[in-house]
Amino acid sequence: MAHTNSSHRRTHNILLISKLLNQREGASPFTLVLDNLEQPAKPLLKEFIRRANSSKSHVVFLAFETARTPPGIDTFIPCWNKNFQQIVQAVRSAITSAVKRCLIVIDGLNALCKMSAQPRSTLDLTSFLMSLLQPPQQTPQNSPSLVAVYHQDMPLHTSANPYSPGPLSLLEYSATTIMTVHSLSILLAEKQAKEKSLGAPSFGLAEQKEGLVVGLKPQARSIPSDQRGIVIQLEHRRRSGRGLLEWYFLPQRLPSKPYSASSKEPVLLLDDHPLFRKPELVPETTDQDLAGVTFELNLTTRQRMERDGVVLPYFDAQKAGGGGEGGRILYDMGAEDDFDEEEDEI
Amino acid sequence: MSSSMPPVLASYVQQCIDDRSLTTLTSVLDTPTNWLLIRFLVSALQKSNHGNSAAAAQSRGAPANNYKVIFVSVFRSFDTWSELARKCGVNLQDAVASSKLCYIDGLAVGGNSPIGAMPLENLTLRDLNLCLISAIKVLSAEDPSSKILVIIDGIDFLLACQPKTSSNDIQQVLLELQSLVHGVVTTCAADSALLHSTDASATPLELEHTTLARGLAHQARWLFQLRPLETGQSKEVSGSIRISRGGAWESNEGARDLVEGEWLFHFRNDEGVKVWGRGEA
Repeated sequence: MAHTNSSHRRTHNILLISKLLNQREGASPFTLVLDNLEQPAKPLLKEFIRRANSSKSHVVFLAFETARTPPGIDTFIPCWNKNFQQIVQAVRSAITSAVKRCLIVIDGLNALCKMSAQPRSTLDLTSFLMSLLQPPQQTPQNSPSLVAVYHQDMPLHTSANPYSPGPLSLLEYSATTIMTVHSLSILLAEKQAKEKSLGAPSFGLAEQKEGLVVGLKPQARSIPSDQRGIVIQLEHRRRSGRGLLEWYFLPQRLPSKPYSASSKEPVLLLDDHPLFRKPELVPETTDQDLAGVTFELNLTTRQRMERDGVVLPYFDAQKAGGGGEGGRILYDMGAEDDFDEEEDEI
Repeated sequence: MSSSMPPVLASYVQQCIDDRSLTTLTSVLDTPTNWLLIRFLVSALQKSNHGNSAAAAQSRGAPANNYKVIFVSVFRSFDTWSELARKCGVNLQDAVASSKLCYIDGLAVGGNSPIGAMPLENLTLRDLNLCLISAIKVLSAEDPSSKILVIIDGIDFLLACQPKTSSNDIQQVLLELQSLVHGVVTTCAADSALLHSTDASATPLELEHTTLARGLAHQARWLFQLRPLETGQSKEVSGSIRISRGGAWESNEGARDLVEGEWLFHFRNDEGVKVWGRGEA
């Protein structure tokens, strides 16, 4: 029973991550990727772009933190020198000129969040993002999808109005999918500490040490090169409102083994990763294991009948209704006992 | 590489200069990055020293490896840098004179810089940006095939001396720079109050500085972190240097990637710097 459940969960969840990474039609209009310095989201963005290229989608890259065009981008829009109306303008013209489906990638939302949190800012974060997702007028069925990265270790900005939610809360609320990337070596270190009942070690900024920005992960070198990659914690929200939480592993692309054109999905569930696999339960011993032993645990028919015929002591307790009327002491007289008619009673 | 470059660091500095990327050096009050920055400067200048052989190599079809450096020093004097460079065997005055190096002096605002450096009107981000753009124009006009490396010491100081400057503005300038030149090396202070202030009770300067420091770490390809020893002061060790991948790190597929690591270093004014691993002699 448990096996069918887990294999069902495996197929279903791998299909889901495949749909989300390939950005199938309407799979997830707004995907928010949360990362930090210990594990940047760059490998995940590269994977999105690679799949968009192979499915012939048009990739629009809004660069808030990148100076040069990464490979595989169709339209590169540097955003650090534009105000947000110009950005929307540039995106709209890029989408209308491309006839195919568009994937919009934003490499860092923190600058925008900071701008929207300023006291006299006119930038409304959610309406800005939704205006990017407007489908072009000629082909209204080709709505673009958005993948945006937010760095979790940048200081949080509270919004200008103290009664409205901060930018990160707004983003997490409006996203249809949230992918948090984790470092495999950090998860491995935490798992090893947990197995020894020790506290989880902290890395980088979490160590709160002066001058330390990124942590040193010595476990990274002990992982074999074909088991390296990043861990994705996925939260997907369906239209029905049901949410799904799952942990995945995206293997690192080795230059010697490029992805073939086959349809095999390289992403695994984290539980299927060799270092995270739970040890399989020992199966019940079959009769064959006990073949050479003279110790016999089974009963023959005759022994069973004899067992049924055994009369057990304490007849009164065997009666239905709890013999002794719930608490009365039943005492069998022995050889040396005297029965005193005044004191003892039945 | 000259003998002043510790062998451990040579490959990292080499890759940071060759890559078209941002490199961030962080420091703490006890462990300034002067010695490391001057070694970046010296190794870039020494690459451009092989100017004659570079011309011959170009005629054979090899790519030019001619580096010009724009060095911006916001609050340290030219004499400090000259002294450090002299110990590494490079004369900064000569480099400025032969226009391999363009020096922008933050201490000599108002145009009264004595050594022929680019004039800087005011110590504001806008003026610094204009000065940099004119320096880039001058250097690339002289030699269009040269690669320009911009080294900026103390850009985070602008957050303190110009309160209206925000970390977004500084990052904007740096991104613009990166799109114009070959590579950028910048320093940033990473003391506790300037790196770990994330809650609203911190002062505006601390919040801005934390945003800038972490933002620079996210945009850098390699991050050099200098900090003192955790166990206290020592006569034989100045501190530890940790070289980590920044947020913009990418694997160079094919070639072997450099590994992250942490080493101890000892800097003595007259003897130079020694870098060694923990537990080694």
